[in-house]
Parts: sequence; structure tokens; C-alpha cells
Amino acid sequence: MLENLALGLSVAMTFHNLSFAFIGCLIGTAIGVLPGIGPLATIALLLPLTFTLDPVTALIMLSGIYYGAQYGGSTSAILLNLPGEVTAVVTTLEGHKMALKGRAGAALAVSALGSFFAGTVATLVVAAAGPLLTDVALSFGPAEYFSLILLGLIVATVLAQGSIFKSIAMLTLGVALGLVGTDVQTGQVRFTFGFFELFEGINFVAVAMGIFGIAEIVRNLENPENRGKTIAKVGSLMLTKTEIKRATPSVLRGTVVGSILGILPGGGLALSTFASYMLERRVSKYGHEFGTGAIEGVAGPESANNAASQTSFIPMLTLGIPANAVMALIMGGLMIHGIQPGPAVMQTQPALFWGLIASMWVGNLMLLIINLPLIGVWVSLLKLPYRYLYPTILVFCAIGVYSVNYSAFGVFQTVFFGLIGYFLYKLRCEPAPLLIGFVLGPLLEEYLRRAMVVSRGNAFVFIERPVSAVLLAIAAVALAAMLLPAIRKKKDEALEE
Amino acid sequence: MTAWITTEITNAKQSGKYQMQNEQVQPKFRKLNAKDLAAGIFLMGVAFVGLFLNQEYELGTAAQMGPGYMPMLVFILLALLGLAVIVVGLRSGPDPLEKWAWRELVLILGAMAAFGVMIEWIGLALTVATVVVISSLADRSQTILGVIGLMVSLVVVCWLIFIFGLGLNVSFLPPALTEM
Repeated sequence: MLENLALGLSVAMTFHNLSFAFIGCLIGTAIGVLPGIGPLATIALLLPLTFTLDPVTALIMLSGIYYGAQYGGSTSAILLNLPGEVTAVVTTLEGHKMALKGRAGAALAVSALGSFFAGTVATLVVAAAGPLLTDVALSFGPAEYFSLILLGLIVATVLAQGSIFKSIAMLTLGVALGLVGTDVQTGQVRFTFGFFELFEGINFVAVAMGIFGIAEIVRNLENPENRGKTIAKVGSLMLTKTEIKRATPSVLRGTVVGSILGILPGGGLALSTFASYMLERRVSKYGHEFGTGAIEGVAGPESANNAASQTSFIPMLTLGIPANAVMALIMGGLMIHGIQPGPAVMQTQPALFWGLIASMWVGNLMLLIINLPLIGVWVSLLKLPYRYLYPTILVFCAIGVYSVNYSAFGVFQTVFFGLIGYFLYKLRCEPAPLLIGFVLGPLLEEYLRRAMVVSRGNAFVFIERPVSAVLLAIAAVALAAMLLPAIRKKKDEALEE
Repeated sequence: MTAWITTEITNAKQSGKYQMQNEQVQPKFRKLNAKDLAAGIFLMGVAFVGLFLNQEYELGTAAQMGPGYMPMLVFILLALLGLAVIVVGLRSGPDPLEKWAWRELVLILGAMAAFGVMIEWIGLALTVATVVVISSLADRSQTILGVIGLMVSLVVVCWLIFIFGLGLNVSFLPPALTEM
């Protein structure tokens, strides 16, 4: 492992990659800090920027954007009480309360330091777990792969919020969208409605930007209550001795919780922050202070969040299964570069795999260095009124999607998916599973067809092969469990609290 | 109709007696989840259109699947899920449909579409300016000076990042001008 990490560091520490990791962290934070823009929208927006880079650098920059966006989200949650996405909700609970007490600086500092520590540990977890899982995955045949993807898809939906049928339907809709284009095995063109631009399939960037970028702008314009809030004063960034003493155990616990739960597909990130918050409230002897700005309630969840965002790379890198919509976006970005994430990547592209892992740590270090000294810059970004922001976002979206292959058709696709995204939002259908289905759909079809060729059309192959049968059984149990009303109620309560 | 349902519910909450009577008269509508029903109908619609189009493609056999096999499975599943969403929606309400922000939606999507129409025709500078103007109409708190300022600064920033920095293969000024 040390040898591999050395290889990774040698890749990550080149001036070229370091500078793109830096740029990624910087713009990721800058966009992520803007109110109403979560990590998903940030990555969708910035994805086209990485297309001109080589795959390793692109992946390093993308992950930098991702961490930056996460961290930026916490900043606006603490200072503005505006969570950009689910995981930041927890940060507002104690973080903003601390800000009201004049300790915003401490909340920001503990969140940065805790995140850095958690990120360091989680990077080591990824480095250790990656090769193990890859070995397992390499022994898989098409039948096992099919079942694995199915499991990944189903678990990703059961942990999502809202009605289970709707989530699975969104997933299936995503798989259906993935069908558009040329069938790889026969060369037959499917569902293109006569547009030759669709021969290569629906533009991934257009789907992501339309649903998560454009639709979100309309939603923000529709709900103006998110604007014009007062920003809390940052105050001193230095932590007092008592604060350090109180926060340290929480950071350690958060790191463990996040590292473990982050690997789970689906709500990994959201789940880990909520779990950590609940744990802190129960374990800490300052439990009674929760709700009034307890530092444990920031330190734990923020560390858990960052640990989980590192370990959620594991299923994508080793198995080729994105654990959540952000990973689906990053995976889609890699596929545009011609890299199919999966167990083979570690062997065929060790520099990519280990370079990314090393750059995770480098990225965390950078965030620590960039964010605290630059806090004044982020605060001034927070003050930007939304009326200047959204036209800017729109212009960058348009140029970004146009530059993918210099075709106006991509822009029109974005318009279409913007409409679909808004429509689904109005019907309270969560679009994240749709993206996961869209990315994994073509793989699902390919492995299904291969497995059936090998078994000569015998569908029982999926339950005759033991590994495949176990995977399907887990999927079935997860699905059945979510259909039981009692468990469903608990899950919704936990996600909504 | 949604307004009617809401009043019914408030009334029902106010008097338990009325609620009992009401359940006998109109038991179905009160639990209707309009959002789910609409979603289910949409899903089934997509599934049937998909199945209809899929007739064109060869199904093949399970051992040697043709291009139409997977779509068939996917759209049948989608239709079943649509049905399930409808069935659940009959009892999980009330959840009426929400109003759409048509003005904002049309202006934002329109600005985006305008970009696609204009970019190759009049170049990046004028296109960006147009997108800013159209999209700014969506926010009533926008001022004319603000729009002009935003327009100028965005055109400059776009030139800096995309033309000067990234060397995007797009004409900045209208192509007709530069060709003259």
C-alpha cells in the first residue's frame, strides 16, 4: 500500500495536477458557498471545464470541486442559515446557533479542522479498502455484475426520501433515457426521433445541468424567501481551550461514523451527518446544550460528512457503481473521457486510481489552507444578490454545455431537461435516482445480455450462481423492508428531522 | 377542485360529526394525492409511447437479445410502476397540484434556448448580452442599471475565461462582421 501511495503522491504532487486541484477547490468553494447552489449543481455546472484536461487531472480537479462545494455549503449554512443541500441541514442546527452567539469563526474553524482530520483518515480507508474490493470484483462474471448493479440501483433508491414507488420509477425512467442512441451490440439506432445528434445517446451534461442547474434556478426564483437574509459576523477564528477539548472526541466519532456509512450506496452522506448528530446528542455530556449552539453538533457531523464524501468514492472506483448522484456525475464525467470506472481501472490505470487517492488528501490540505484565510472573500460572495447570480449561472451553463461538442443541440437538450426537472419537482419526484439510472442503465443492459448469452437464455443463472444470488437477496430484502410501513415511517422521520 | 378539497378538510377538522357524514358522502376525494396521480399518469404515458416506438426494433430471444428486448422490459416495468404510483396516490393524499411559476420558467428556458439559436449566428458577445436581458426579466427586483452592469461585466468575463483563457472555438463578435 505504501508503494502505491507513493506512486499516487508522485502523480498528485506534479505542478500541473496540484494547480488544477487548487483551482478545483477554489472554484468549488466559490460556487458552493453561493446560497441555493448545492454540490450537485456546482459539479454539473463546472463539469465542462474539465473536458479539455487529461483524465487524471480532470478527475483530480472534479474531486477538488466536490470537496470545495461541500465545504462552501457548510459556510453558507453556518453564516446564513441556508442549507444548500440535505447534508448541510445538520450544520445549520448547531452551526448557525453558534454564529448567533458570536462564535461563527469557531464553528467555521472546527468544521475545517475536523474535516481535514476526517479526510485524512478516510483517504487511508479508501487506500486500504480499494484493492480488497477490486480483487473481489475482478472475479465477477456478467451475471454477478448484473446483480451488483441492480443492488446498487435499488439501495440507492431505498435510502432516498419520499415514496418508494416514485423513486424506483425515477430510476427506471433514467434507465429508459439511457436506452436512447445506438445499440452497441447490433448497431441499431433506438429512440432518436430522427435526430442524428442523438445517435451517441442523450447528452449527459445536458441532463445533469438541466435537472440540477436550470430547474433549480426557476425554483429559487419562485421561492424568494431564501434571499435577503442577514449574514452573521465571523468573529475570531481561534478556538478556545474548552472548545478544543469538547470538539476533539466528536471529531473522532464523526470520522468513524462517516467513514463507515459513506461506503453505503444511496443516502451515505446525508445518513452519516444525521447519524453523527444523533450520536453526539446522545453521547456528549453537553447533550442538553444541543439546539442552542453546541460545538459537538458541528464538529461531529462536519467530520462525518467529509469522511463520507471520501469513502463514497470506494464503490464507484472499485465496482463502477456510483453510491449517490454526485458520484454518478463524476462517473459520467470520466466516461466522457473514455474511462469506464470499475475494477479494471486500478490495474490498467494505476496512476489514475492512486493519483486520485493521494490528491484527496492533498485537496483536503488545500481546503484547510484556502478556506480559513480566505473567509472574508467567501463572505463577500455570500452578499451577492441572487438577481446577479442566476443570469451568470445561466450563461456559464449555456457556454459549458455548448462547448461539449460545439453544438446548439446540446443547449436545446438542456432546455428540455430543465423543463422535465421542474415538472418532476412540482410532482414531488426526486430526480437524483434518475441520474443514477441514466448512468448505470447502459451497463445494466450490457451485462444482462452477456449473462443471458452465456447461460443460453436461462434466466435462472442469476440465482444459480451463489454470489449473484446473495446480491439479489440483499436487494430483495432492502426493497421488502422499505415497503413495510413501520420501517418506512422511521426512515422518513430520520431523514426529515 | 383542489381548493374545494382543502375547504372540505378544514371543515372536517373543525367538526368531527361533519367528518363522519362527509366520509359517507365523499370518501374518495379526500385522500386523493393529485401529485402522485399526475406522476403515475405521466410515467404510464412515457411507458406506452416507449412500447409503441419499440415495435420497430427486433426483440430477439432471451439468449440472443435484440435491440428491442431491454426497452421492452424497461417500459413494461415503468408502466407497472406508474400503475403502482397511481394506486398509492388514491389513498395517500390529500396533496393537491401546485401552481407553476410560468413566467420564471418560460423566461429562464427561453434565455437558454436563445443562446442555442443565436450563438453561431451572432457570436458570443451579443448572445451573452441577450441571455442576460431575457433571464433578468424573470426577477422583478432587477433594475435597468443592474442589468446593464451585469451585461457588460459578463461579456468581459466570458471573453477573459472562454476566448482568451480557454481558447473556445467560438466567434466572439458577430461572424458577419469579422468576415467583412
